[in-house]
Amino acid sequence: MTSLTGLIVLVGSSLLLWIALVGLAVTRKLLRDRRELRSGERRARYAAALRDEDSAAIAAICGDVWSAAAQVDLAVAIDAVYATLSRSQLSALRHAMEASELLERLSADLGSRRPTTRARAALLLTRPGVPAVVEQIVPLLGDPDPDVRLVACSGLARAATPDAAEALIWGLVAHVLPPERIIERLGAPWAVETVLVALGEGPTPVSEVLTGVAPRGEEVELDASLARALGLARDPRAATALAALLDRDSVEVRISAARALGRVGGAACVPALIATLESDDWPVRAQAAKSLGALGAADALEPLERCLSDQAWWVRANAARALRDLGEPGIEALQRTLEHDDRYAADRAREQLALHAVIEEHAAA
Amino acid sequence: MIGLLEQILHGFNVFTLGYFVVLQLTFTVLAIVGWRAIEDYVERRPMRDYRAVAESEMSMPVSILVPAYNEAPSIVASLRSLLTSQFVEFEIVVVNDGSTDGTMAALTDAFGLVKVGRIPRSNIPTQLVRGVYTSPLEPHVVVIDKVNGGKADALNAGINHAIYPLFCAIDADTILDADALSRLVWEFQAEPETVAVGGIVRIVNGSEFEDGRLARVRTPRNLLANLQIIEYLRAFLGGRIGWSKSGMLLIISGAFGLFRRDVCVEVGGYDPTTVGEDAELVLRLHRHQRERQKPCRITFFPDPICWTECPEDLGTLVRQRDRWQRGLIEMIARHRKMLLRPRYGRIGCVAMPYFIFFELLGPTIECLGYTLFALSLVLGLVSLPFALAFFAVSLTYSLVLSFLVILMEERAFRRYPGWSDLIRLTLCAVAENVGYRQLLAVVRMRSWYTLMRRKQHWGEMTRKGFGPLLPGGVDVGAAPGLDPTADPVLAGEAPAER
Repeated sequence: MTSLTGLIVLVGSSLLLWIALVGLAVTRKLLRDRRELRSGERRARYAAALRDEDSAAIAAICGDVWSAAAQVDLAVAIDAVYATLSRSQLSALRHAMEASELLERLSADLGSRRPTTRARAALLLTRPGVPAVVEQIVPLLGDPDPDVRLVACSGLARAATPDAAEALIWGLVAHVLPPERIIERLGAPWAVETVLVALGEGPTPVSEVLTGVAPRGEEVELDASLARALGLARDPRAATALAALLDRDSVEVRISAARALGRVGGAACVPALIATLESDDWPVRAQAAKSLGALGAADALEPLERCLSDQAWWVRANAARALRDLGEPGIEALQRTLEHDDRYAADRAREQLALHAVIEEHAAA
Repeated sequence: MIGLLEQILHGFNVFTLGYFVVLQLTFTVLAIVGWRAIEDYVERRPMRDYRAVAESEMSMPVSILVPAYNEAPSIVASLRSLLTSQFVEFEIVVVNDGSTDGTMAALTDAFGLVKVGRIPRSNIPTQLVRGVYTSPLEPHVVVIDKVNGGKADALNAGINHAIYPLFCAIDADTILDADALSRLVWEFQAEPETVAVGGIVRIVNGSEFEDGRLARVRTPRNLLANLQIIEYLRAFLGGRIGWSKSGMLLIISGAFGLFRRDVCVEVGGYDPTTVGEDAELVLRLHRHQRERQKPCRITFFPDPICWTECPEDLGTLVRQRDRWQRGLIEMIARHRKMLLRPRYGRIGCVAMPYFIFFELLGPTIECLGYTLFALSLVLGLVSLPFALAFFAVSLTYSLVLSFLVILMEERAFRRYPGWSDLIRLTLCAVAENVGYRQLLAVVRMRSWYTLMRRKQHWGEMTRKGFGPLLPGGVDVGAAPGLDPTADPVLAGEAPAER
C-alpha cells in the first residue's frame, strides 16, 4: 500500500510538473508575443515622431523611456530614421532628452556595475550623434567589457568630431579593440584631417579623459591602420600622404597604402602606384597592380603589360585582371600577350580573355 | 548459479541507476550554463551591430567551402541561396569530388564556368585536382573539379584553394541565414584568439522558400523529422552552448562551422581516413594548440543559423547516425593519448572522459540497462512499483530538459512562431523521450560492429532539394568540356614567390 501511494505521488507529481512546464511555455509565448507587438508599435511611434519633428511627442517619448526595452526601441528608431534627420532635428532630440531628465538617467547608467546597462546607456546617448557626448563616452573605450567598448567606438564615430577621431586613434594605439573595428569607424571623411595629422605628427598624446585607456595588448602598426582608414574614407585629400607611405620600409604599411590609393583615386595616385610596380616585394607589386586595375588607370597599360611576365604568380594574375578591368585597350594588350614568348604570361592572358568572352557572350544574350 | 545471476543483475541495476543520476546531473549543469548564456546573449544582442560586420570592408573575408558529391539536383539552388548572403566579401569554393551525376555540368551551365589557373595557398595532400574554374558571371564562385576522395579530401582541396583567412565548411544541401556569416565572423573579430566557431544547425523540412531564402519556417508533418528537431534543439541549446561556455567544445557540425584557415593548414586539414572528419578536426585543433601552448578558443554561437534537410525515413536516419557514432569512436580512439592528461586541461580531463563514458559506451550501457532491468522485473528482483516510479522519474527529468530547450528557443530565437508549431514540438518532446531515443541507442550501439566492417564513404541521403522553389532550372545532362586526363592545376606554372 505504501509503495502504491508513493508511486501515485511520484507519477502524479511528474504529471503536475509536465503540466506546469507546458503552462510555462504557453505563458512565455503569450508574454513574448505581447512584448514584441508593443515593441514594434513603440518603434513605429518613435520613428514617426522623429520624422515629423513633433517636439511635443518627442518630449513625451523621452519622458516615457524608462524600461530597458523602451530605451533599445528608441535607439533602434533613431537609427532607422537617422539618415533623414537634419542637424536641427537631432539637436531637438538632444534637448528633449535633457529636458526630460533622460540624459541624466543615462549618464548615471554609464557608471552602472552591469555591462549591459552601461552599453545600453552609451548606445542611446550616442544615437543623436551630437558632439556634446564625446567627453562622456571616451572613457568607455577603456571599459572592461568588450561590448561596451564597441558601443563606445561606434558612438564616437556617430559624434564625428576631431576629438572623437583623436580618441579612436588613441584606441588603436592602446589596442582597446581589434584594430579593424576602430579602422572601419575612422574610415570616413569627417576623420580624414585628424588621421592625416596623426600620420604626420604621431598620435595625440593621452589627454585627461583617456588616462584610463591603457594599452591592452601588443602594439599595432599604427601607420598601416591609418592608411587603411584613409582608404575606406575614399577622400582625395589623403592621396599625397598615402603616396608618401609607399616609400616606407614596412611591407605592411606599403601594402596598406597601395590598397588605399586604389580606393582614393585622383591624379596623384596613378604615378605613385606605377612606380610601386617596381618594388622588390612581390605582395606590394601585386597590390599595386590590383589598385591600378581598380582605378582603371589607362596610363598604367604598359607597366601592367610588363607585369604579366613578373616572377611572382600573384603579380601576373593581378596584372592580367587589371588589364581586363581597363577595358578595350587592356583586352588588346592581353591579346598581344597570347603571342608572348613567356608562356606563363600567355596563360594568364588567355584566362582573362576567356572570362571576358563569357561576359560578352552573356551580355549579348 | 541463480544467486550469482541475481547478484550480477542487482549490481548492474545499481550501476545503471548511478549512471543515470550522473548523466542527468551533467545534462542539468549543461542546460543551466546554456540558459545563462542565452540570457546574456539576448541582453547583449541589441547592442551588437552585426550589420556593420556584414557591411564593413574591414571585416574578415570568408571562403565558403561546399564539398559536393552527386549533388546535381540541389547544388545550383544551394549556391544561388549562398550568393544572397549579406556579407561584404566572400567566395564560394565548390569542390566537385568526382561526381558521376552531372554536378559539374549543372554548375557549368548555370554559372558559365571558365577553367583558370589558381595557385593553391597550401599543400594539404589531396586526390588529383583536374581543374579550377571561375565564373565570370558570379565572381564569388570558384569550382574545383577533382578525383573522388571523400568529403574530407574535398574539404582539404577547398582549403588549399581558398584565398581568405577564414573558411566556412558547409554541406552542399544547406541554406544559411542571410546574416549567418556576419554573426560568426563577429566572434573572430571580438576575440582574436578564436580558432573555430560552430553555428546552430536546424531542420528545414516542412519550411517554405522564396528566392533561395527561407520564407516561412514551419515544423514538418513527418514525425521522424519533428523528433529530430527536438533532438537537434537538445543537442545544440541544451548541450553545445554549455560545453562551449566551459571551454570544452569538442564538436562543430560539419554542416556549418567557421575556421581559421592558417591554423587548420598547420594541423594538416581534415583527416580523410575518418568518417567523423568534422569532430576529429576540432579535437586535433585543441590538441595542436595546447601542445604548442597557444591560445585556442573554439566556441559555439547559437544565433547564426544553418538549415539542413534531415532524413524522413528510418533507413537513412539509421545510416546517418551509425556514421556519426563511428566518427565519434574514431575521433576518441585517435586522440586517446589526451585522456586524463593534465597537459590538455579540461579537454583531456573532463570532456574526453565524458564522451567516452556517456557518448561512446553510453548507448551500450543504456541498452543493457533496459534489457537487464526488464529481466530483473521478470525475475522479481525489482518491484513493479519501483520500476514504474523509476520510469516516471526518468521520463519527467528528460521531459523537463526537452521543455527547457523549447523555452530557450522561445526566449531567444523564436524560429517557430506559430502556435501549431509549439504544440507539435511539445508533443514531440514526449515522443522523443519514449521510443525515439531508445531506438537511436540501439543504432549507436550497433556502430561498434559496423565500424569493424565498413570503409568510409560519402553519407548518402535522398535529397528533396530546394530547387523547385528557386529561380533557374537545373539541367543535369552530360558534363561538357571536362578532360579527365587534364593535368593538375599547377602543371606548367612557375613556382610563386611565397
